[in-house]
Amino acid sequence: MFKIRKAVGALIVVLLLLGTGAIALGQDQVTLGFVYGSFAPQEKWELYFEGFLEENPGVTINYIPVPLDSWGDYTQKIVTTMLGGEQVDVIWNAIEAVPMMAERGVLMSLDSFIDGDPEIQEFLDDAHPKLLEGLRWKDQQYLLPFAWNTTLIYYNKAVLEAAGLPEPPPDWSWDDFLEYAQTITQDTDGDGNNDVWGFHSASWLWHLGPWAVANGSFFLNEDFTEPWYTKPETIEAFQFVRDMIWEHEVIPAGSFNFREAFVAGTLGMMIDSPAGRQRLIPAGMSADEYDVNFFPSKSGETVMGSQWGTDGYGITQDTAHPELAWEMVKHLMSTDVMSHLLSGEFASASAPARRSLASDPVLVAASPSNYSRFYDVLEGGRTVINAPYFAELAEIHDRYMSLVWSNEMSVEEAAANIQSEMEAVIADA
Amino acid sequence: MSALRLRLASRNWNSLVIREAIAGYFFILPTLLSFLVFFLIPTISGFGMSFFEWDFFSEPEYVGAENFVELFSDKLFLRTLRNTAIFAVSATSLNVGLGMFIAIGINSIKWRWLKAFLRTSYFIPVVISTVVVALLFGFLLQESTGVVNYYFSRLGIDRIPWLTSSTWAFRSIVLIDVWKHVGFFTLIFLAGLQGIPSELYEAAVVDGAGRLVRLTRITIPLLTPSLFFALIIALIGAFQVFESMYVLTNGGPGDATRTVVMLLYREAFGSFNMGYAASMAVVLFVIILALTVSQIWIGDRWVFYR
Repeated sequence: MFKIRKAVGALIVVLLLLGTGAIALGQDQVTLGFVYGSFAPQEKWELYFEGFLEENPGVTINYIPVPLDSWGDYTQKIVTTMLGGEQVDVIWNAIEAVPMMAERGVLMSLDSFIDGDPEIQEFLDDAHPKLLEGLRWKDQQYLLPFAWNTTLIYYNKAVLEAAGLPEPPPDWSWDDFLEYAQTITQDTDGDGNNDVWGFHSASWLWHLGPWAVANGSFFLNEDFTEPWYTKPETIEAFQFVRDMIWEHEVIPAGSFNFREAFVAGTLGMMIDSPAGRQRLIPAGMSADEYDVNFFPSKSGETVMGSQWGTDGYGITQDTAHPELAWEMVKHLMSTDVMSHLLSGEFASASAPARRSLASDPVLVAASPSNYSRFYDVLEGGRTVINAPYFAELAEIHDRYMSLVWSNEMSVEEAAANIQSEMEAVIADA
Repeated sequence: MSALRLRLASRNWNSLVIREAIAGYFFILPTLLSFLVFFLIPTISGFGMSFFEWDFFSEPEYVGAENFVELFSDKLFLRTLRNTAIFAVSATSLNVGLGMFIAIGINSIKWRWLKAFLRTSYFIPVVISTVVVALLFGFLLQESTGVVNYYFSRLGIDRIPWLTSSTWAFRSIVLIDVWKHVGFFTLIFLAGLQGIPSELYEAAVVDGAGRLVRLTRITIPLLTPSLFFALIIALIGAFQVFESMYVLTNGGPGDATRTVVMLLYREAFGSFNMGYAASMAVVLFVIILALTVSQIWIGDRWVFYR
């Protein structure tokens, strides 16, 4: 009996020692919560953070995947995750989210870190200034840019050749563009349905924005306080695209798998971003089989502008370890980490924020010959809508433009409705 | 002596009752807790929240009935309420009507293997995730490249804008809902049919009753308890429709397929208007409750319990 008591006593002492030891060890251990879009596997970010974790052996990262259907939706899910009690320290997000997350006090301003850390200067000098500017809100930097995107017209060289068309010039007009689309569109088997389509454009903001920019307008003014839907230039641009569906029948009506059709050679031209290249590679399409061109303009002048957006990394107000979180963000901005965009298992082909990487031989080899045009339009382009009420504006746009695309509402009527509803949202904000 | 024995017996009985009661409460404790945590507390909180303006980030502000007043002047809410009602009526009638028709058909089949095969076939869509079904139909019903329109065009029928026109998108979603859920209602009616004694049919045959008479005088009246249950379940489910519309059309084109739950979700987690969204939930709850209670009340007049 006495032996059993002794054994139990010894066991308790051992357990207590182990417990206190674990607590003591745990005191040096810091866990940082990191939110990312779950479209990419966790391994991608584990690769990004390898060097950071080697330099900071006491840090572990809690990877928090959040589904990403749209940036607005993704941002809302991050906010609800945090409100649900999840500790989030570092966030991956996009330009659209900055105003809302800054206004609601979710993101921390990075200015004090930037001012107090000379090491970041090298990155700031290399990053494209437009991207840095885009991620500022009310004169404060909230995210540091990582990868950016804009849109141009992609064209399938084989489809153009089959239609007897040369590669289009940079200074093409709407008439030229329509002629290309009409020539490409063909009913090859004579069953009354088109088998090859000239072009594709959805009614999304991402697809329609560049048409408005090319016609000297946009969805809203520069500071996103005044809708421009009823401006004649905006209506004219949207009308041109709408007519390509319902009058000229060179754009397929309804939903359409445009990338698959582009690869299969049943679509001649489409709207896509630098990241679009990466989606063509698994389908077996190499960079010399297609190229990119500027959007056409009504007059035929070269359009050195489009609509662009960028992603980036930032720190939450909730973080208990701001210095470590800053080190984590800074690590992500290194050339080594950003180079993962260009090659390897998790290459995304979004354009890197560092200008020095734009001429990287790996990127150049994987790109079509006119790839530099993506950089050309960044200068004269407009950012995607980045205002605190982005999600509401996007929803209003989609609601009415989808009716235009299904031929149930005129462009003028949709524009008038969008204009008034957006004005109400902005007035309430 | 006998009084003492009685007292002791009563004490034993009492302690047994108490012990059994305690055991019983332990058994229902998990269900009770989940009911409290996942239903009762959120429901009461929702009711309370509907009287506040709250955006998650700032302190809730009491606004009285303002959310409800705003709700009934909100054209979009009224439109979604109309869409939800139309969907509920059409999907419920088709699901329940077809389910009953299919069940009677399957029940009349003599070959057991065919019966089992059809029963399983109709039920398989029920166990598939609604999101998967919606994605699948999204591909099938694509206007330009979808399989359905491809075969239609081979038959000389014009391509149908299944999901991109206001009229067709609504119809398509009702049809998809019926494809997905009719098997569940078929199963309910099949179970109901097994409970009808065969002697009743034999007696009817002896009396010279034909198939139609047997159907209208025996089968349908004795299926009314199943019909009653199916109607209540179908209507409650239809009023809460969300996933299929969210995935297939996201409420569009325009607001043609936007339902109350979709609008509620957008207001709560898109615009962070928690109070306004809660007031929508309250209105929807009251509508469903009123419909269910009235069904039960009317049910006493037409449901035939043997």
